[in-house]
Amino acid sequence: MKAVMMALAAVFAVGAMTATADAAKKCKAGYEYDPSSKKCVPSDGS
Amino acid sequence: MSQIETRWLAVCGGGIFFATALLLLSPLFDSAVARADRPVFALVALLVIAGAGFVYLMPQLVRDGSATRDQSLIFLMLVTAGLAARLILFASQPILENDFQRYLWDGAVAANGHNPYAHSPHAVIEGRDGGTLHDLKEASGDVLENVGHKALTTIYPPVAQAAFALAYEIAPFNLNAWRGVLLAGDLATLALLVMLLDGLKRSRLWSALYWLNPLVLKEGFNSAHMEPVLMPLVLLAVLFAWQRRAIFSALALGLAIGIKLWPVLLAPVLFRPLLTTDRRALAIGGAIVAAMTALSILPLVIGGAPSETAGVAAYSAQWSTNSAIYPAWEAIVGLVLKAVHLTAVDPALPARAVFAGLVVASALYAARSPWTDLDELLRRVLAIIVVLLLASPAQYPWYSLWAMPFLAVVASRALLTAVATLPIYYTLFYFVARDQADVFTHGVVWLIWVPIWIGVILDIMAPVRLTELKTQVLGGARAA
Repeated sequence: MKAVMMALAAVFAVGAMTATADAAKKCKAGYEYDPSSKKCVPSDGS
Repeated sequence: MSQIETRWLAVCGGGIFFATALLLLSPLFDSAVARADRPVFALVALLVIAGAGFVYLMPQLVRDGSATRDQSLIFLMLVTAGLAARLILFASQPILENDFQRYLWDGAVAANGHNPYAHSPHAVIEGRDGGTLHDLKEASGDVLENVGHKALTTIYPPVAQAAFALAYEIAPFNLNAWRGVLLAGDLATLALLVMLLDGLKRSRLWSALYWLNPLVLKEGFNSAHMEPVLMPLVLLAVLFAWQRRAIFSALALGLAIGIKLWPVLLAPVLFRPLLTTDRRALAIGGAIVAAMTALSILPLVIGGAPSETAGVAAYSAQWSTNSAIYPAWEAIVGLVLKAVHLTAVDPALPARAVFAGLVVASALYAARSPWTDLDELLRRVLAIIVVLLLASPAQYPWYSLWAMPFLAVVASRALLTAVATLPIYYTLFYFVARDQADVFTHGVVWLIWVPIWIGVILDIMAPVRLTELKTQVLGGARAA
């Protein structure tokens, strides 16, 4: 069990280090797409 | 008044103080205040301290209260304090949240007999709705203009639309009318928790873990998220299943699915005993759930919006917020796809498919055998919800309200920990205001989730019963 958990943690650590921002067509967390300006702008909510 | 009653009075006072502090803080987050000037860290400090204090004090306090002969005064105090805290928050401005604007707009559209799935708010603002919603647009004040993700049509199924429409009928475009609907739902949740606790032959004081929960107060009655309308239906489905009233359970579950789709995952575990005892009831219950699920999904699919503006499609394919593990998982999938030269495939699709498969597998695993008592049923239902929460690419603090009612009936260190760490989510707005969102996405988010995952591991490897809970803080367990 411990070995499985350590292996899982290692795999996700690699993933976390290589995780990149969302693809260009999506807005990053905390931003939303504004159809008027056609840009990602800071969001006032979720 | 006994010493224990005095301590309860102090904690109930603390709940009211918390709600008052949130109320006083809320104007400082008005949209007129520049994003960089909003006191985000004061808010997070308030929520985290309240949450940590709650999880540190409450289980022990309930245990002590449960040992007293007459608990009626303590129960009256906790119900009154929780109700007062909710009513105080009626006067607050939603902090760092705008989902309620969408609820108010959808409710107006639905209550006036229009199809809420047909046009995005942006289309209505630009007059691309054929003029059908022009009068409502004019009457909405600043509601329509402030809806989030304006380019997308609504994501909320028909029963949710009915709840929004009810708020509109009470008072058009009025946040407190909506909060009134939420309060009715939350009172039903409290009543159902009391019934479940009676069924488990446990003290009703355990309901305090939900009713006085600071995260529930913030997300339900400051932010005005829709979960308080959803959860009584989920609890009702569980209660009816336990009472072997399959048809009523199916109807309650179907209504819950009509608010948010995920409760469909609970169907296998709820109806599992019928497989060996009453296949006719299983068939009827299954048919009801299937029909109500179809009726809930159909309007979202054929609502009339072009696919690029369909909210439900965007949410299921793209949304990713406040999750630590999902972005890491998606990156792993991306690396694998690159290694096998499949760079044209968006890693989000297989990554989401695998996590969705995990959730479905957990729902089926929870139904591997018939449950035999209410305690076991509640544990299995909570396990499914926790897997769903942990695997979801979007992990907003208010999603935890899907699980929070179960805090009163199932011991979970992970959930208790979440009460204290999930509010750290709001620091996202601090970093966004400084164009440093990556600090949150790749760093701060782990502060939220690592303690919760530690709690999950402890829950799996060293489970405790609710009555054994003494003091649980941030994943560190000390069981009696």
